[in-house]
Amino acid sequence: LSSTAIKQLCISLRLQENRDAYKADREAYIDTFPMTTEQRSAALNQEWNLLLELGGNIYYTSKLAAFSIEGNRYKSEWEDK
Amino acid sequence: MASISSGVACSHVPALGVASDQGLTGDDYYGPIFKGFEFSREWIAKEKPDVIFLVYNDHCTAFDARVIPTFALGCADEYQPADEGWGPRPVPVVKGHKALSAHIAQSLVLDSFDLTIINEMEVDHGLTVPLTMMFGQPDEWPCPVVPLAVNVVQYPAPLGTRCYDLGKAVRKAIESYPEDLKVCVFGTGGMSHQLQHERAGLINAKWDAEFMNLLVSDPDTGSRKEHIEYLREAGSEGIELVMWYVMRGALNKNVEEIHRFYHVPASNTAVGHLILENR
Repeated sequence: LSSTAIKQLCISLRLQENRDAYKADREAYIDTFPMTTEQRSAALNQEWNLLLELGGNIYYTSKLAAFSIEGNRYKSEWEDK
Repeated sequence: MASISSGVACSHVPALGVASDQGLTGDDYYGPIFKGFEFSREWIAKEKPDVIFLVYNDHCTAFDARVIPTFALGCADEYQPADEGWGPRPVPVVKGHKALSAHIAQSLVLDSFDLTIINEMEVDHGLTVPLTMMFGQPDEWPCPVVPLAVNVVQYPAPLGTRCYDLGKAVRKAIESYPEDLKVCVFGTGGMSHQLQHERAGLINAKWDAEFMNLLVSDPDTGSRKEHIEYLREAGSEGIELVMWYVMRGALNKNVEEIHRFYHVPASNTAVGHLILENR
């Protein structure tokens, strides 16, 4: 399983021009990174823990999370466990 | 000749940079942390190092998944604060010391430490937050910095023993530089913290205290801690602490602990800080 594309998608948002492109068309921007179907879906649906399991890392996924306008940051992913 | 007089260990919690940049250093949450560094800012104003050799880790900023150097020595004239995703920190540019960097690079490689040489690099909170904690908000950082970036983000990270030995080689390198320079070595990152997945929020104050005790008094033993212990006891991001051993290796066997500060929490991290002087 390659994790480089998922990491590079996330870290690309470190730069303003990429942030602008991502905001303009999220899906098209995500599709410029050669990810597996599962990785693509996790990125598109902002499944944070799955992104880690598929090769992400907090220092990468936090860049993607910074542009997440969905979700509830006060809800724990583990509260139903 | 150049010499090493002291060492500083210091966490690099990004929220502390934000607190400083946004004027929150006196509030209820951040106030106690910045207070713990008041002694340190007075100490370093008296210590007046000519150069700081700063061991830190980059967080996928200068080195993302495309290139992952285990040890990378900055050899540039200056290092710009990087945009980490929400704009660069409003802190001064970090001036380098190119001649000393070049000398250290040569000395380390000929001493069998085959590190990567970086002539152009932006620096992230891993480097600028420790400067903020030690110097506050000056218009310019008071002295040049020679940065050494260590990969502790992507396994395999280097061993504690390798970091400790590298510190000893850094000392040899600095002490063979012909100009009279007083060098302070910073080891940064840590302490216990886990930022991701199911154990997120892990803090281990007892382990952190023992880590500091061993680092100060018995680094030969402490440096032999295995990766699995860092991971289990200090959380997935606790491995940053191997960088403190580069600093420790650059100091004398006998050091005096001038200052210790420990605080929980700073966002979801245990802040640890030591000042050590050679004896």
